[in-house]
Amino acid sequence: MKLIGKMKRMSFILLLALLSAFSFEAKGQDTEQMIQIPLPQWLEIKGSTLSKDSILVGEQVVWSTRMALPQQQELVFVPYAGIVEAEKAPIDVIHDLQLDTISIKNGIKELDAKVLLTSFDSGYYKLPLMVALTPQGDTIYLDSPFLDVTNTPVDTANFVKHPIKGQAKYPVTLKEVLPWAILAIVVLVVAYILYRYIRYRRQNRDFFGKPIVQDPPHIIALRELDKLRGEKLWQNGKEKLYYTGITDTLREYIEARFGVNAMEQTSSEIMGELKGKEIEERCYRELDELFKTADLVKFAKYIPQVHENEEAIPVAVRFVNSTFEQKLQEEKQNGEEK
Amino acid sequence: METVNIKELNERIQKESAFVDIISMEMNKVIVGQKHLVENLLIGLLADGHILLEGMPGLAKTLAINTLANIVDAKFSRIQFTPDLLPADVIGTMIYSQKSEQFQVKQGPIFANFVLADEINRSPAKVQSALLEAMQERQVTIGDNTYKLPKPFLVMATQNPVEQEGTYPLPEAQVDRFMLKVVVSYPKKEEEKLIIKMHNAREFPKASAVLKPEDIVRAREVVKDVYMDEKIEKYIVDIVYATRTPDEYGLGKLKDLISYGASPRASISLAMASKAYAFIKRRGYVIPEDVRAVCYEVLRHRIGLTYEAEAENITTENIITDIINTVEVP
Repeated sequence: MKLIGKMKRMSFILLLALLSAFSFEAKGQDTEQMIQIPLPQWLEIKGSTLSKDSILVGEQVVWSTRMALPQQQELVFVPYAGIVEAEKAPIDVIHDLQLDTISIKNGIKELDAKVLLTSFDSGYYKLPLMVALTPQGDTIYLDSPFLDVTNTPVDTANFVKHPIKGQAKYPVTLKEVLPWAILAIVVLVVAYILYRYIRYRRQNRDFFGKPIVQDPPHIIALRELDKLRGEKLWQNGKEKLYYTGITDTLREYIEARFGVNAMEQTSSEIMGELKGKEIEERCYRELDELFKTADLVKFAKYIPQVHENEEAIPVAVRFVNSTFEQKLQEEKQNGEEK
Repeated sequence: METVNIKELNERIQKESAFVDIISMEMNKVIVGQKHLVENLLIGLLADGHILLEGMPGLAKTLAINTLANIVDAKFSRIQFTPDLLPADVIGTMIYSQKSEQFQVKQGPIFANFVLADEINRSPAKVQSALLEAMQERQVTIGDNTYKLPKPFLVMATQNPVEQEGTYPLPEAQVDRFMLKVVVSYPKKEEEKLIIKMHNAREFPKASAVLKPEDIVRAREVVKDVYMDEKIEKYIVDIVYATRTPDEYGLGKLKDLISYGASPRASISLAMASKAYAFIKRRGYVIPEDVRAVCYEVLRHRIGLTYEAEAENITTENIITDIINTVEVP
């Protein structure tokens, strides 16, 4: 039963609110006259104040109306934005009416109705009246204060133009700094690795600083020749590859052993360069023959005899061994002289 | 796949190239020294390429080509290029005959087996073009008729390297048509003494005609058959490419010195001249030595130098030396 009674009350209040919203526009024109209508006896206005009497264009102001009424008396306020719009008042409602109960004492309750306003037109205005409805069907108009809206004063006589302010500088965050810091670290690490690589390479060391042991030219040449022998190239009809391998190995050896640019020279030029060196007569002659045979194989489709193929690597090995031993003897002699 | 019987080819070349020794012998009767010039004349003759000679006057350039013409029993003509020379003076023209009341063709001096174009840079471009066109096409058009030039046809043009005033230097595109550019140098002291003795003698020696033009034409066919291995072809291409993109061959220092490299015609000429050189050496196959032997003559006029190179007195010969000392020999 109680629930039904409560629902009935609520629907009544809602109906009143809607009625007032629709009827306000019609009554808007007569509000000035309606101010004259006295307030009911049970309602006492304790104060109607603005937080500021005067505001600049766009500034905000709170209008607060305090009232005292019997505890049981209901009051429904019409939305103030609707009133302002209906009256086409030069103000804007930022926050519509908010009703607070300040106190309830001895059967009297004290209410505070607040509305947040602003205005974008300068002038001296009387704010539209606040409207409240009672369950008995009475309409109550609450008096409103005057609001002075002024423009920003500009002293045209002493006006000084100031340059446009620059962009505001915000403090740098860690998120912004982190990628650059990582990049800088990576660059430093790469630079260090490069520096270390170049330095160690010059010192003939590997990346970890261990000295790289380079085989002497004769060891490299003998190893290559042995590898060629193992590949059985001429036995499989690849004489050209076989002789190219032998001559390339010998040319690399000659380059390292005698300092002759053998890779960029022809066979006869190499032999001409070696003529002045102290090489055993037999080895020199054999090498000359080997180069000539190799040239024929490489450039004239010559297919050598089996014995020529078999002899090619031993001739090359003999040349390497002979010249290597000679170098050892030279070094030994130089050592003794010193 | 092409099969080549090298043994057979070698035997054929041994037989066909026998005349090279005879030519050299006959040339040596008349020309003292200048072996390099004579050798390159033979290369040009056998490889069917024309020769640009650069050298001071009096270095037996004319005598050399004249002697070669005598030996081959071929027709020789000399054209002295002057600023007022006209194309018709070189290739020929139509002359009106009052007797027959008709225009008759008067062939110019270019209709010879051996033509010496003396001081080619003294004539304006139109005359140079007329000659160079004939050299390229091996035919001449006079009036409405086209006439084939005789075979063999070898042009030897000379340029004086010291006098530059009043000359019309050959454009790069024209120079490229010469297979070889030979720089003729002064003879040695001993050779010069011998030259004086020869001239003081009662009778100046004369070369005998030991060959027919047909022998040269046949020899040219044999030269074409000289075997060139892929490795040699690659070597030639590497050398020519090194003139265009030296930094790819570890010759970055040459990049700023070369304004343009050798053309594909240089590769063709280098291959043909190498074959001819192998033939002269009586071999049926080309070896890297052959390529290197003709490299300077084939490339020196085909490489453009930049102002930096000229300012530093760097010649095309310096560049070629750097290239052949860097490109790996097969």
